[in-house]
Amino acid sequence: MNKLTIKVAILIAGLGSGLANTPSGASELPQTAEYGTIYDSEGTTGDFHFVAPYDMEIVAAEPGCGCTDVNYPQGLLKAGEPYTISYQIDTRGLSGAFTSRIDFSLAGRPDKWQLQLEGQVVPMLPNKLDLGQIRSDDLSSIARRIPLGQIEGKPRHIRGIQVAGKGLEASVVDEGMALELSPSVGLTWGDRIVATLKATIEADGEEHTYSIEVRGRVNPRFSLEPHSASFGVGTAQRREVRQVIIGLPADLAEAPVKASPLCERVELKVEYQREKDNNLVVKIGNASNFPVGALGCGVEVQIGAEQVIIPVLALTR
Amino acid sequence: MKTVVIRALYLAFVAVWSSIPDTAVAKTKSQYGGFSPDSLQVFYDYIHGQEMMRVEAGPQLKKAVEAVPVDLGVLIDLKQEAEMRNWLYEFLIAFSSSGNDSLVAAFYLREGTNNPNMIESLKKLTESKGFLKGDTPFAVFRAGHRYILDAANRDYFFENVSFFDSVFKVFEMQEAYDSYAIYLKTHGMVPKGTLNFRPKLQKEVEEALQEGEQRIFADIMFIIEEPEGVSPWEWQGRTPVFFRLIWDPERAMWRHVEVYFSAGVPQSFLFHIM
Repeated sequence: MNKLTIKVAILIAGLGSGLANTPSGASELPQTAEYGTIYDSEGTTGDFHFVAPYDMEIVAAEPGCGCTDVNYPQGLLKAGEPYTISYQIDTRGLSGAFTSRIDFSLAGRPDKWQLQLEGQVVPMLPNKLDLGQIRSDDLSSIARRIPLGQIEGKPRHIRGIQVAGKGLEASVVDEGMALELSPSVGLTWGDRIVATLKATIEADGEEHTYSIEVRGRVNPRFSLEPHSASFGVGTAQRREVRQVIIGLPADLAEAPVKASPLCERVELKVEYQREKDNNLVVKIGNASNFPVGALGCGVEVQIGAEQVIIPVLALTR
Repeated sequence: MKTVVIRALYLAFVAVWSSIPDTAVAKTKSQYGGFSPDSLQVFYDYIHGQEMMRVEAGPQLKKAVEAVPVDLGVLIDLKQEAEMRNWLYEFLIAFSSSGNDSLVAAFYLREGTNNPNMIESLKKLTESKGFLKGDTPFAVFRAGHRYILDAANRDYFFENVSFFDSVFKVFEMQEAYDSYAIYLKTHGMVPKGTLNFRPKLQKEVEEALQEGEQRIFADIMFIIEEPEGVSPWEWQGRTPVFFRLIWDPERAMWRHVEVYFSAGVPQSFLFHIM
């Protein structure tokens, strides 16, 4: 293989993607740079000054862990001359000591120059909060208290909180030292929580606005696996059976069941059977030809006094 | 010195993905997903045990593309389905022996340009390397692709393809965007070394969904094989390629939202520059 192959592939790919670091030996160049303490939880930019110990050329830079961006001096760097490397560190979602590394490939040298960026991150609040899947019969799992990150000797306080979006309410508690989240009134099964909290924080005599993106979803009353009876693409004459499992809530485990096709353009045969774990297995097959084109209809499954619609989807040429 | 550097880089890349398949190649079985990151041999056996077909413009490939099943999680029409298959056929052809630099550039530009800064970077790179002839985005992509091919010492990317477990999975999302990466991770289809090129469009899609809009997507995976004789190893490299497309009703076309492929088989696509 052409020896340039991989190197050039890396450079091209490096225009927009993260690549794994390759360990290598040390060099005479400085090995560490301090970026200090980052408080804003977004990241920081910094400059690293160094003196070239010998004539050298940086031909590529690989920021470690996808969390840094770097600009380095181009062309021949003369021995004894000072130069500057600019870097950007993305610290979103991080907390505590954080080290990042930039690997520089140098023309004419087999080993890379590894520069460690060292510092710590003291976030005020998390910038993202994923509540995941929430049980519809227990919305209390949404409620939580989020303390405001503090720096010793420099107290911060939350002065206000605004909620944009839906599914969530928030308030300031503990005399401004924490936020408390709770489900909004009316949140019910199948609802998504998509909210942005904007906290006004006082720190060092200044006010900062800080955003937290909150996501989550309350499980639906009935789950469908898969979400539809898909007959895919095929001929009108095909005869197929698809199975959909309906997950039932506990209070309907023993409820009577009745299933009825709602398709006028194709005759469907529907069978169902209860299985363990409150599952209702529904089998749907076509007893007549599918109509040419797109078919979107459904099967209504009545469980006690409630209904579930299983979408029936087909494309026919 | 370059030999050492390149060798180290090469090993770092290739070792994570294209490890030699076992002497006894496992019989292909339908095991799409569920691979453990701790037992990549199963994964390698899976992709290297598949029967491949040549990527060549013509009725045979068209027929194979037509046969890829569609899993409908939401209803689309026959035109959308045809566009989906056309996209796959055109993608494979552009990067195969039946394609050329212009076809590739046209494929990249089928959605138009959305990332002028990255195009400018590619322009500078290809200009400095003497590949650029012209000033248009078309010329830049054409030169960029040629530069990559030259560097990778090959004339095209795809020799063969397998649709063994390929399915166009059509579905809709609203309010929140769930990345294809989540699926790939939970199904063990992303060993180390996989490159993730997210076109700029993904951000726009995320914002649109958050505003309550509903969009139709299609996910697909297929396995491709590099040309014979270009790999330094004794076998032809294979890799799964993953695309997430979104239906653009205004343009009546499927557009790229997420693209994943392996770094182990040098196929440096330029989707992130679109």
